Amino acid sequence: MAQNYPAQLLEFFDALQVTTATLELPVTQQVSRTAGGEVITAELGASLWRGSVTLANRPFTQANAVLARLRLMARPGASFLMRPLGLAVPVSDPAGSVSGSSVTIDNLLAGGRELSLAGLPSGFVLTAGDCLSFSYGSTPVRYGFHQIVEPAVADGTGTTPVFEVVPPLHPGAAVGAQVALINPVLKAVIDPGSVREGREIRNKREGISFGWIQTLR
Amino acid sequence: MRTIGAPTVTEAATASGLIARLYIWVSARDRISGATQTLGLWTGDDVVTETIEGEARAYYGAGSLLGVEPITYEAGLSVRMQRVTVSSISPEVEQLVRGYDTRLAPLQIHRGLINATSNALVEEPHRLLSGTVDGITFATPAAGGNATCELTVANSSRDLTRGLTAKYSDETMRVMAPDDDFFRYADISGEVTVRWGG
Repeated sequence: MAQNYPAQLLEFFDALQVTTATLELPVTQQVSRTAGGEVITAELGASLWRGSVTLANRPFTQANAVLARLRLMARPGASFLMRPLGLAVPVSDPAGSVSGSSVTIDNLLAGGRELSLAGLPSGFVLTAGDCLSFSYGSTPVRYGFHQIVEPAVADGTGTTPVFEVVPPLHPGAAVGAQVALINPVLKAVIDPGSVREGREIRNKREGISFGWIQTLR
Repeated sequence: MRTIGAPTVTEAATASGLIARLYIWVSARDRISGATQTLGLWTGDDVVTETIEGEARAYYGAGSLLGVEPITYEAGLSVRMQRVTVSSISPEVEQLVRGYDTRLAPLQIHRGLINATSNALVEEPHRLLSGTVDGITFATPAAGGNATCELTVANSSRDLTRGLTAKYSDETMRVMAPDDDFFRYADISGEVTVRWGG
């Protein structure tokens, strides 16, 4: 059956054997250096996550299977869900025991820089650097992926105070959306022209890599 | 002259950075039903609904609107052309250009100022330009190239260059005043010979 987009984690990203990965949040800005030596900046566009992934050296048979999926994902119109590997669980919950189904967005402040969560276990600690994701909207469903900037502790009812995230929430995020703190995902496309299909060495293929950019479409 | 609201004045006087976003609103004609279809594009991300000029308008972003050339203002009535570059393979632009008839479609450009700290609009976006779509260049780039579509917009002074639709005829006169028969013989005057005397 032809692949539906976005490809789910198991269909593409979790089948990869990643050796190195990068994750960046570049800022789209304009810069002006004044005669006074100051640098003035102003934002020009939205910030989307991007990064690159290099795969492990694998025997032909395994590498070819991965390569086939990668070539499919590099085609126009393809998209896939992925999860930054170093950010899979909150620092305070390394076992990943917090239930993903009960956590929701409790409040959103105008401008989208801050939000609060509800439905956490009492006293649950969110540490700076933890990531969260949630989906919203329709046709297509958007995936928001944000990193927590300031720590927050859930109160007795499981609700946190408002805390800031980067990048700011995109327009359309709604109160009540289900939030994933364990294995947060984002929707990405392959950066056009970034796929390196590797080379064959003895019985293995090495150096398969690609770059990706988050997409909201 | 544009009136600048108090929030914008206050915002401009502070030392914080300011984010400017452009909003483009096109009212095109549906090719099938003939009804007016509207479409908004903006330079921010994803889709936002802003109240502009008294109505809630949905603006689509995420790269659809690539850029607008600097807008030149001048005194007088001369017709100026403004170029707007949009991404030609985004679904919204495809819908606008291929799905709707944009010939002489009204188009407005607004600018919204966003506070860099709160990331919220300072006040309702103000209008920069109002005009009609004059032409669309829809080019297919070379493989791997950048897909852009260029809209040429004529400003509203061009409405003044329209010719008069009224004709030198009895019918036109009667549209304005049904009892006015001054032009009753206008269409045959000079062709009928009038004899004097006999």
